[in-house]
Amino acid sequence: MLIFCPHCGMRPSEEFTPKGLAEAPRPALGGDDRPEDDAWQDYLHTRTNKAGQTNEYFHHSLGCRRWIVVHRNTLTHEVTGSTMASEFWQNQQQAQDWEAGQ
Amino acid sequence: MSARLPQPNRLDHGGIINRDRPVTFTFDRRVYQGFEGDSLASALLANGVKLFGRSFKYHRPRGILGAGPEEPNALVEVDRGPADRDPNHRATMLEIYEGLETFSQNHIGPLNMDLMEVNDLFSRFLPAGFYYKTFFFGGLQAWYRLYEPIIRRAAGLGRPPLAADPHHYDKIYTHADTLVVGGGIAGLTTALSLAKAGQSVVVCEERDRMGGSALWQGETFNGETGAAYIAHMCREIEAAGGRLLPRTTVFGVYDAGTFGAVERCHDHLTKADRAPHTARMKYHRIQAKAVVYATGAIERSVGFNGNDRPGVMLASAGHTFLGKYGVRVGERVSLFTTHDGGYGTAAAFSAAGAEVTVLDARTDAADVSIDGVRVIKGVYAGQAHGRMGVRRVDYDGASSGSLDADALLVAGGWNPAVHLTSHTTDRRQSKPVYDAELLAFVPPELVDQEAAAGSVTGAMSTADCLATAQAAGKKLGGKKIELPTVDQALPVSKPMEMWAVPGAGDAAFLDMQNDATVKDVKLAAQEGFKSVEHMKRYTTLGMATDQGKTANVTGLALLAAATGRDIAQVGTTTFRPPYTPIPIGVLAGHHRQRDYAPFRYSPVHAWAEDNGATFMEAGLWMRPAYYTAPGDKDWLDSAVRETRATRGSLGITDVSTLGKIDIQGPDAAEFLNRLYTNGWKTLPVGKARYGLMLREDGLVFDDGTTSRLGENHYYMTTTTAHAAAVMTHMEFMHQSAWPDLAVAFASVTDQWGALALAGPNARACLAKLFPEVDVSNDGLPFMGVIETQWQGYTARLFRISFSGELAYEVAVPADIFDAFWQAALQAGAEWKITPYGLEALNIMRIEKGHVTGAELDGRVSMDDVGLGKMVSSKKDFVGRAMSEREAFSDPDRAKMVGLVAAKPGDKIIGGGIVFDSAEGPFDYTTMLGYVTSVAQYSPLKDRAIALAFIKNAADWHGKTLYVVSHVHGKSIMEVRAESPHFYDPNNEKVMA
Amino acid sequence: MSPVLKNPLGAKWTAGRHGKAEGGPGVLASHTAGLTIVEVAALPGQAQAMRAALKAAFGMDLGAGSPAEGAENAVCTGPGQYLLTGHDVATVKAAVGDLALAVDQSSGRVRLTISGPAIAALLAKTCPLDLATWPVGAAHASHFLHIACTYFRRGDAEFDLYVGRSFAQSVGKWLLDASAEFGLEIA
Ligand SMILES: [Zn+2]
Repeated sequence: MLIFCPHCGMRPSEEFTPKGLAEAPRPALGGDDRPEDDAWQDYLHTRTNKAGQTNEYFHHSLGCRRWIVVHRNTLTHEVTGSTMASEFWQNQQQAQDWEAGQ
Repeated sequence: MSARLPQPNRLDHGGIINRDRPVTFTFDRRVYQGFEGDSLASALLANGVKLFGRSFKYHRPRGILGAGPEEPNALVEVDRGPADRDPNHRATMLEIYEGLETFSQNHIGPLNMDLMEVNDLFSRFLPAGFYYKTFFFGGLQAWYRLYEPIIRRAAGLGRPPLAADPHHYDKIYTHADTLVVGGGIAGLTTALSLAKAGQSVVVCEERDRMGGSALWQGETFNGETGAAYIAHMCREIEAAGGRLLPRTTVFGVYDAGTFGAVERCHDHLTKADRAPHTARMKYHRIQAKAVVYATGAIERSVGFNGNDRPGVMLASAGHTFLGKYGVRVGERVSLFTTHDGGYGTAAAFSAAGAEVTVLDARTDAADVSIDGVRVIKGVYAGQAHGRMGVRRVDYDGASSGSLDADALLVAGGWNPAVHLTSHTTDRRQSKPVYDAELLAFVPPELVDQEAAAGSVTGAMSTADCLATAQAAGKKLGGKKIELPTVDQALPVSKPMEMWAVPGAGDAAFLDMQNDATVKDVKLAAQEGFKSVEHMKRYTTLGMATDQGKTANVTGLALLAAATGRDIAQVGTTTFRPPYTPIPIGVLAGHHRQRDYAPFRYSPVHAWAEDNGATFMEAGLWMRPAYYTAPGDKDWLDSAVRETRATRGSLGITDVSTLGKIDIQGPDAAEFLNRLYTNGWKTLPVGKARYGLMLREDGLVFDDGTTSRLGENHYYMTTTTAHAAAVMTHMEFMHQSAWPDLAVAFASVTDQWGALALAGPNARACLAKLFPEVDVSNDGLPFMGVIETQWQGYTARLFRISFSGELAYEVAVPADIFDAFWQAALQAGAEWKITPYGLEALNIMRIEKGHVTGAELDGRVSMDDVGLGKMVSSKKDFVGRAMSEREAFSDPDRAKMVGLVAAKPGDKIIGGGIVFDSAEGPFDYTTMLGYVTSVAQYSPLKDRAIALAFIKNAADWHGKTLYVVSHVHGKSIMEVRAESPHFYDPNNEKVMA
Repeated sequence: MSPVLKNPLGAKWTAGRHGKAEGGPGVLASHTAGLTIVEVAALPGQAQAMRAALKAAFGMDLGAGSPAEGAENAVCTGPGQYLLTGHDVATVKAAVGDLALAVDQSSGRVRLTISGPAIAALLAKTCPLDLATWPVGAAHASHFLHIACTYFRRGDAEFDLYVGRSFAQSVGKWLLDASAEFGLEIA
């Protein structure tokens, strides 16, 4: 299996360490958050475990050591691309804003 | 050179063996001779050997069925000494060499008088599902006492080796534009087309040389022999930069163009001929942009009674032994065929002087006249007779009769070797499809990066195979090449549909290796196992080491017939890697035993080795556990001596393995604030602070100290165990959650060597090492940090303590750490400086009540380890929200406590369970908690002490408890609970 | 007198011929002791500015920051992340200021230079990447038999390997193992 790293290019999967689905961003800093808050539940526990197109965190641990979000189809294992984790949530937010503006 | 021995079935000409090089070998301790280029099968057949082994279930005598990787019967053991033998080599794939020793398998007593053959006599009692049904009688006791031992005795093929594999293996990363699987004429033709277009091409061929059947079938190419044509095609491919890998099996296809292949480098060579330092086998992990499946086709048999008798063989196998090796497997040959292809083999045998009778199942077969060949149309082989070798063949159908025969060749049609086309799903989800015209499964529609060439496509004649190879080349961007004119072409036709003959029953075998019969498949259908996957598991058809290469398609065709469906409806089972068995060692490659994983070494490892250290593994690190001094009785003696010397005067230990992270940037303090539970904004330059990190779920992750070296510059230490995890965690939080924080950090674990000086004389020793620096209590107070120089190199002095003593950690660059260590030993000599290892460190930190990985095991909260006060309520940090979960404030939660053995000499068992009564019951209903760390002797308490987690910990201080270990014979040990801070609870020593 | 630098490659790493003895060596290897190595890592959003600062101070042209745009003395290990050789940490820190982290790794990284006719066959055993696709001057952060390693292609058949110091002994031992069939000459 090959995974695309935005910095390093196509690399074998053995260079990466998976973390799990990237389905919700870490809730914004508040300070008085409660464990039962939906945002925290979604960030930590809720996983749709979808059969199909997913976004997953991978660490390029034997490479550039960047966290990336890999776009992978769990039905076929096909990796269609990836985004730097540092850009992923900002891109999502921009996409949402764009949708909302339509 | 040894004398030439007779080979009765070897013709005096023909074949592509090297007749100038006789090779002597043994089978079941008998000496035989063959020629260089022989397989074990061809050499033994040349010597008239028909019996090769015993079948798995019924122990029926078995010979050779095929001539290649598909062989189900002739499995042998190769013995190179007790530590170096491997079972289940296919005799058809094993190349002989001088001195090779082989043995038959799966029999008790001599091969020709196997005592287990009794299974065959009772075979009517052992139909499919027999095991599932029978062993329910008598219940579990009967299973353990009676059935299982019998089955275990009978189960398994061959003997495993008795010692570790002595060979070495390599893993090779191989890259190509296109991988061609199969080096027959079709694969080579496609490879040439691609190589000429400038692609990098790798051709993997399972056999000992490129060329496949074209090498010996007798067809000519532009007037050249097959061998000559193949040879110059190979030269052209290599000249264009292509790589040819013979003896290399592509065993698996994986996602995104990844392939697994095993190249056998040694198994065909004598020890003397193996190049030194080379691997026995290479595991090629091939990464290719495109693939060509040129895997050929495997002939299938037909179900009739006695079709497993030694001497019954696939027609293609008989033809291979004749053409490739010059071995004639019979003089009176019956050839049962369902298509024209059988006539090519018949003609070859007749030309080789055999008396041949063709039993053609087709009544409407065209008339063929071959010299010396008798043809009977519309008949099938009904029964083969001859327990140790075919003697007679009964035929039936349009006419019936009986033939004297010493070989029965069966041409039941061809199954394209489509296995690899169903291994992966990332580019294509389709499985092989049934072609009702060809009566065979062919590859599904392939995607852009795949092509198929040769008989795997269903093509039958060599000319058709070459045309598919040309097409495959075209599809993948190859150059058009001039295809040769094929002369003396062998006859081919589509087969007549005949999977099993009328009357085929429980001696009509489909899967020869697992002894699954025509009757078993019918029984499975009768009993409702209508899915091909269920039938497979019920009958075990296709589940042996050959994965049913000669059996599967016939099995599911019969299942289709028995359940009134089309074969296409029944479908095929999913083929999975490996295509043929591979040794596990080759997958491990270099990574075995001491090379399983790398070791990490401290810069003073060599010094420790020379000075009596015994090491223990801590993650990848090798760390000194204790140093044995003259007079030390055992490890505990050493550790206690080291502890006393440290507490009494001065100890030194290597802490280079601690994780170290350098953090820089304007937001560094903010970053630390978010990582740690406590606050960091007020830490002044030149000071260190102890910090606790949580996981996002609120449990304790790691602890350590971080020092502020400059305005925007921090230096973090982590535990040795969690160093990598902390670095990864910091990267994750920074990149996924706070990418805008202006901070960057790097692991400097390897840059710095670090030692701790501990004990009442630590300050005096430090002052000697750094005479220019004020290391007094005012100059370097507790948690103070000074960056200075030692012999021109940066040195960092930290006043921190893990042992509970007055202590300092000093870090210098790893390159000079050995020199600095020696200097410290010299400086401390006047106080009898004593190196101490992890065991002494463990005693001291347990006495002090410091936690390590044993306590921070991923299940404890801050409160559990008594660090609940280390929370700044003014800020967000990782784990904050979840640390407020109700369960964490449950008063019943186990918290840390100290335990002291009731009397000197008593042991406390690590991992033991804590109870409040010595009476029991000792189970989860009464347990209070568990022991995490034990010092088997604490000089402070003159007995064993421990750290444990128990419910209502504080309430038990001063009371008697009991530690019970269920894995140490339920020993019950009396202990007293107290505060875990046994030593200097008010920190007077560390602050002194 | 300055202290003796300790060889990080262990006792088995000795000068001379190892493995196959016949013929010329397939692999030549050398370790540069006492090399000054500084790791720089740009703060978020500052990679381009940091490269400009490095160019101004040391003349290194690192292009847009792809791993292929490196120099022998500036090996790319990640986005905005380099191992610089030949300049001490104070000089580098002064050059990059608040744009980037700069730390001394002179002791933390070991640089091995390997070359020779069997170099491609050797690297095929240790590194999962396809050498054919690397131009000279390209760097790749990957692994050496699963030990984190940055490869830098100096020439057609010449590579620098940067590995963590504590791993160097294992790397040395495994390099001896892997190159034994080709014959290894240690300088
Ligand atoms: Zn990367």
